Amino acid sequence: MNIQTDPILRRSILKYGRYSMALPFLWSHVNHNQPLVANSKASTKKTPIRLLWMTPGHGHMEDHFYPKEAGDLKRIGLPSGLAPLKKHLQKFTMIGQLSNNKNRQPHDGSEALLTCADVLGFPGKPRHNSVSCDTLAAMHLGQHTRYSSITLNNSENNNGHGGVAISYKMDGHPITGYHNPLEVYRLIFGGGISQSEQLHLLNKKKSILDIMQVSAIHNKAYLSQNDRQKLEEYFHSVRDIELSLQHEKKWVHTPKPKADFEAPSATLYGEDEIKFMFKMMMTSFQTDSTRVITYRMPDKALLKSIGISEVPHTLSHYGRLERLHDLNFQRTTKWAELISYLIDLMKTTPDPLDPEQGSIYDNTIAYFGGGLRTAHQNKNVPVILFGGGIKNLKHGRHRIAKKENTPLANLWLRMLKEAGVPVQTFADSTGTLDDLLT
Amino acid sequence: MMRSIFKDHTSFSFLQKVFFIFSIALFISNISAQQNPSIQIPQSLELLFESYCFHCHDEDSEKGDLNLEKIPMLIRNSTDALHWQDILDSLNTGDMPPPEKKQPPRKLLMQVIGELTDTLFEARQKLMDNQGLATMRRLNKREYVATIKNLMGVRIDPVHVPDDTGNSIDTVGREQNFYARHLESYFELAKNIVKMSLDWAQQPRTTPHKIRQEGETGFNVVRKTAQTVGKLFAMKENGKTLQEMGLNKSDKKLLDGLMDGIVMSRYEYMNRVDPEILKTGLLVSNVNGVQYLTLKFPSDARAHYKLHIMGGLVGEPKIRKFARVNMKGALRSGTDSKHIATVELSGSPKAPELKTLTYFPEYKPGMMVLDQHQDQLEFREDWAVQKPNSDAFVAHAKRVEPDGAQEVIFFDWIEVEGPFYEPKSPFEKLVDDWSSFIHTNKQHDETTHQSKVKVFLEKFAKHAFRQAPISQELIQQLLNLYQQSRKSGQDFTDAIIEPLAILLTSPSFLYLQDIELENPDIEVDINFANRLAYFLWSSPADSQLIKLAKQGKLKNKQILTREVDRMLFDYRADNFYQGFIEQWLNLKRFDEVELNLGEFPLFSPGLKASARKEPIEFYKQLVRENLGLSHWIDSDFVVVDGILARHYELDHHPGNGFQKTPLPDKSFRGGLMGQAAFLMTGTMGDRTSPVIRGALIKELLLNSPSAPPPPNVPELDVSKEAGHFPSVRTLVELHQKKPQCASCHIKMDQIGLGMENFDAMGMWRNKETVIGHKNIQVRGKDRKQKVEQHYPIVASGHLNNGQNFSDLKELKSLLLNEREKLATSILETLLVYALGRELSFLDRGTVEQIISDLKSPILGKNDKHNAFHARRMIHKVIQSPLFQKSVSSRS
Repeated sequence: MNIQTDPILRRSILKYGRYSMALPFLWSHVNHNQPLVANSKASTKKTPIRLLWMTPGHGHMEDHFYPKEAGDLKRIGLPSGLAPLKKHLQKFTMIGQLSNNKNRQPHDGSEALLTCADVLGFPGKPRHNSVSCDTLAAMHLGQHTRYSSITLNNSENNNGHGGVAISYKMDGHPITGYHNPLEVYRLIFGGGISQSEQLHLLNKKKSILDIMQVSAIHNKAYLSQNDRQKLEEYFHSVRDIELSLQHEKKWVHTPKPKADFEAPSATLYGEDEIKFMFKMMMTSFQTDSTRVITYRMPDKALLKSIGISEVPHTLSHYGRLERLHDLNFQRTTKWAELISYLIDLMKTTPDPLDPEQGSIYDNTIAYFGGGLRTAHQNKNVPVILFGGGIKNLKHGRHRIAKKENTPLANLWLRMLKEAGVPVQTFADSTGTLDDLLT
Repeated sequence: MMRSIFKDHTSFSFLQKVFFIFSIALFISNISAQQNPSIQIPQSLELLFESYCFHCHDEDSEKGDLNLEKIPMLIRNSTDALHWQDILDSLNTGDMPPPEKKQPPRKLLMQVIGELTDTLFEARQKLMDNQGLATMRRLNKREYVATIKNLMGVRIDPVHVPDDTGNSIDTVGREQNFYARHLESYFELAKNIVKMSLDWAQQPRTTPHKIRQEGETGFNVVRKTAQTVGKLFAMKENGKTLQEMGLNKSDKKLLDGLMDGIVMSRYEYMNRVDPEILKTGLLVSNVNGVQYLTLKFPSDARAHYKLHIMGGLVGEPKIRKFARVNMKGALRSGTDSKHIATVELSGSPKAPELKTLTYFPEYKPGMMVLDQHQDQLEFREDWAVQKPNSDAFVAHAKRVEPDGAQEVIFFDWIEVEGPFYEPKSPFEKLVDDWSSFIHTNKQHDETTHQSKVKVFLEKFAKHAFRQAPISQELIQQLLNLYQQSRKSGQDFTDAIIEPLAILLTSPSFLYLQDIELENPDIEVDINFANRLAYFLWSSPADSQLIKLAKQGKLKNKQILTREVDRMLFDYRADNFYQGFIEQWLNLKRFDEVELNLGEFPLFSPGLKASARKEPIEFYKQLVRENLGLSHWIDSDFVVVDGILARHYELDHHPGNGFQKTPLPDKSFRGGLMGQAAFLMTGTMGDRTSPVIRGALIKELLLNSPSAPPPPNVPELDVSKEAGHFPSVRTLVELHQKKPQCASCHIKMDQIGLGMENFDAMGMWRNKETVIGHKNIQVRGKDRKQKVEQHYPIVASGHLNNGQNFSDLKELKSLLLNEREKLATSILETLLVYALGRELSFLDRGTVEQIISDLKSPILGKNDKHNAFHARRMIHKVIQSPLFQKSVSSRS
């Protein structure tokens, strides 16, 4: 099946998508999707593109983060908070005038970021979301990897992100993913048990799930129609886990990679936690455990770990308070430092899938940004792009879209297309930023 | 549906029946009326369109494809609402009318934006209406923990329970989600809980006893090292060589390290403090020397304890009077030590005084009997431990207590008394009954063994499923699973874990639902008993409620009233007081508040914890004494502990926890507007926020919540007009210059300004001090100089209805006139909390009826608050047909 046009794609996604996405499963650590197209051997030839989306939720102060004009960053200079990125001046691109136009939320930095949906809506029901672009990517790029995507999260409340996830399934259900570094470590390297033990465990889990299903079916019999609908969520969860068990069973004979560094300590927090997650990202790409990663970053924990007790939301109402300006500056600088660290890491991590011996940096399209510009503005959102995955894109510039409020979905569509995902449109996209990213 | 109607009212009185049938009729007629809820767009919009919009957006021009003439001036559905939302958005951002066109006058724009915002807010609620139907809900965190305690006998820390999602009250089922991640977390959690409970249930209960830690011996180890180092130090001072000191060369580094570390500070401590005091106890301070005293004791996961502190104060410190108790050790959750309590000390080292508090430990699920020694309590001073916050506190303390000693907190001894147990839980009783089987289970023949386990599972399921029946198929499958594990060599206590955990993960346990029994009369009452117990205890019904339900007596008004009173005075009702008030007041928002300790050195963990507890204790007092709810507006008493009494500058009997404390005649402190948690929530970046305070008062006391703020309203640059160090009032007033801001803000800010006499930490002030920096030149270099600007407080403002007030006292009397709104605000939240659903437009009649019933005074009570009595309201809610009828009508 070759998918070319939008309607067919949408239909097939719905068909497959309904039961295909799985939430991570603690027992099995599996993230899987049904492939978007039938298995083909074509993808083994070229180095695969890896996609990475990251956001800390809240935005940044104008002076600290946003260049005043378009052009060569070397010429116009970096804004004060981005100073740590100076050594990578030719390794990243900034983009202005992209907006998530459907998003009305002034407080939630990432709930609608990758879905470009109108989460609040008006249709007389509680918040709802739609599929996120990484899920589409996972359906295509995840065919040959153990995990079609890996979703990293944080466990804090009121972290400036809104909702509970940045990745969403076809039906708009959140994929909450992993927030614990140790879990991610085990996800990639396994828990050190033999294949037969693992099989035994999988079978055991299956029988436990079966009993859970029986208990739910029995329960359903004496519920009202309204409550039966509510119980569907329970059945859905059981099915999700069942599917991920099946998926894991398929992979049980493929050994997980051997770890060449130690498991993280349980107390990893804030800056250290983020750095460890970066390391796990590199390993995941390097071992081809997945080709798609999203990271809903722990802003609150980062602030705490650098000695700032204020929560992100307090910082966002900086107004005229010098003290808060200063803390915002520290925050933006720290994020820039971390991105700079990640670029280093990507450049020094060789990519085994690259016949030309390139690095992970060379074959990745990485995004760092969020759904809020500064304070509670959700137009003209921050965008930093890095990695060599976008063909012919020359880094080192601040590029401003010609049209104000150009859909952010255009960037997502471009990223998907660059990675070879056969989609024609995404959300409210109107193009692929062809004149902007060349 | 018909079946359940008849089933439900079998035990109702005649009048109730009539009312019930009447309300069904009302329900049906309302549904047809509700099918097209339409809300009129305010007339001001037409005015605006006529003069400022039609020029471009009429049928002829249709600029931007928009013809405003065509848009109906009604909101009937989401499409209409979205259109109007777009219009509001472009007015808010100032995009329309475009700058080059004629602009509407400020007053009109303000009116239009304000009215349209409110209309859309109302439309949203209407479109979301649930038609009075509740959705089945899952146990929230609070209920899960309480239910486990009730069922299994162990108390676990709520942080390990999956989070409540949703933006509403945590009992609202419609807002809850359930994903695979929940299923796996609940199952992992349940396994740990079963393992833990099984272990503890087999452990005999211990008779309460006391374990004491003397202050002077708590210091012994430290004392020895300090003395040794002290001697070495003295020798070094006297020029002795390492050899003469009896040390090797390699020890030099170690010695140097010791010299400027904590050990040295302890040596200094020993030289500094009165040795007589150290003979009987211990002095601690957060600065250095000795920082805390530790108490270790074997803690029982089923029990609670009493903590006794025999302590005193050196001199008469004004602010450093508080000891904090922290939980440390391996069984707490997270890496920080956990705050347990703050206690105000009194007496002196020579005449110490005893303080006692109750301690309910919360444990990591999976805490086994073997782990019981891994925990410990730490007793220390209550304020920031780490620099630079501790420096700020010390500097502040020096100003307030210039002659105070460095160490003022004295512990003669600390003691734990316990364990104290609640009556045995169903699971503990079950394990008791099966104990001989558990010990000898390997010896039984297969058939006996199987049947024993089967009965065990059935009995357990009955309690776990809150009396609901369990299917034989399920039991059989659980037995199979059990057998599988046994075949692989496990004995009963291991093999039973997963089957029990599955029961604790099944919908019949996780979801609160109406159950179906063979006998429908009993069924209705049992469902009612559980609903009642989850409302007031967040726990399942106890044996007394079940007994009354089975006898069909629970809905008898007299018995019900008696039972509700019993429940409200039970310790389990703390779940209600806390769960309800923290959501009515949105205390989660308070949890996020962090004040800069440089400016507010008294902002300690102890103060924050006490401030959070105050409104809960206040409400509990109102309920227990059945006082008028208008005490939330103004009150001649507060319910405070020592640290809040200090904060509010009140006399208070130290050390007895929260107590009702009368206020001096002219005090402004009474009611919500004087409570520290409320006032601190109303801050932004260390300054007061009349915006938040006003919005909260508008929502809580006037029952008029504000629409959420719109995105992308351009930032207001007020720097030129505001001057260098503007007062909060100046900033607020400048903010209102822009019509887009003023349209909503004038309604909240003007109320919020009435509380300007309370600073960001909620302390009383007569002037506002603004601290800033200005750039100056010192010897040709740019330097920053600290500037303090003072403004006298003006606390005047007005309500939305135009009534003016000149200070907080007048504001309170205006609000008292409108106390019905406060009562409605509490009643509506109470109904949502109790019913597990948002209120529908169909419920309006019930709300109005209850409010009208509550207006009447109670004979014999004789104060200005003699209406809307707190306990009476709870009774009314429980007696209302909304609460009495089945949660969800069956088909």
